[in-house]
Amino acid sequence: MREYETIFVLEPELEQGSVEEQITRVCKIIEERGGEVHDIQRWGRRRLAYPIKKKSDGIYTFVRFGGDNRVLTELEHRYKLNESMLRHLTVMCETPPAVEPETAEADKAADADADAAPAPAEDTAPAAESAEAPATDAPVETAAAETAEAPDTAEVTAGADGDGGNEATEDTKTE
Amino acid sequence: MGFRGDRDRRKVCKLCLDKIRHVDYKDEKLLRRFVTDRGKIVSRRISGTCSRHQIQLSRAIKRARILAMVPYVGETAK
Repeated sequence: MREYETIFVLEPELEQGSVEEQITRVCKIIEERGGEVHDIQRWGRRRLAYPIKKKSDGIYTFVRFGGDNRVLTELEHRYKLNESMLRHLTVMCETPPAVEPETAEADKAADADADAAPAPAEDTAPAAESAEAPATDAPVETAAAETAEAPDTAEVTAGADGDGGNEATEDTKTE
Repeated sequence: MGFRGDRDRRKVCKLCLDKIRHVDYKDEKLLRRFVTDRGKIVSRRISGTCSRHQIQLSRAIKRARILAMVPYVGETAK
């Protein structure tokens, strides 16, 4: 299993509900094929650098997950069929999860457990996560934080996680 | 050979100075610093980035372009 991240851009006209639906759909594809969703970030509506389908904004969503090529092929296939998808990109994670995301995840998991006590524990974790984190942090900020984090922690994690790191990144693009 | 004067001063890679390990395609703010207002990737000759970072940068910018986070053609060139 490898660690991937995918970003997709949805049409700006979509309502909150249908955006959520798209997100859960993506998560479902991943999980049905033996993958696991590690992180979902809703970047929300952002300005596009160039118009796509005559639209100047898009709704960005970032998902980090573990999976194998079955997940990827299906994901790409579904992306292509989806008319409200403006752009999407799936790449292998280059930075192994730094210390920060790990701890964040641990916190979230703890939260999810507490919140989702009545429901069966493991299965509902991703759903609970997505529900409780409508975090529309500015993506630039988070990214900056990540990169700032890197120097100290990277060596340790890179050592631990081994090869997955630098090489063999898979780009996928669509019109 | 002082004729080149101040212009010959050696440039230092900004990304090394910032201790950036890996250039992330999601870091739009950073990428924008290395793109001209026409949308071109700034060459190493101009920006002074080291080889490793320039390679990472160009890849990151190209990915960010796919997602419309960074332009293919800059605003002024349209």
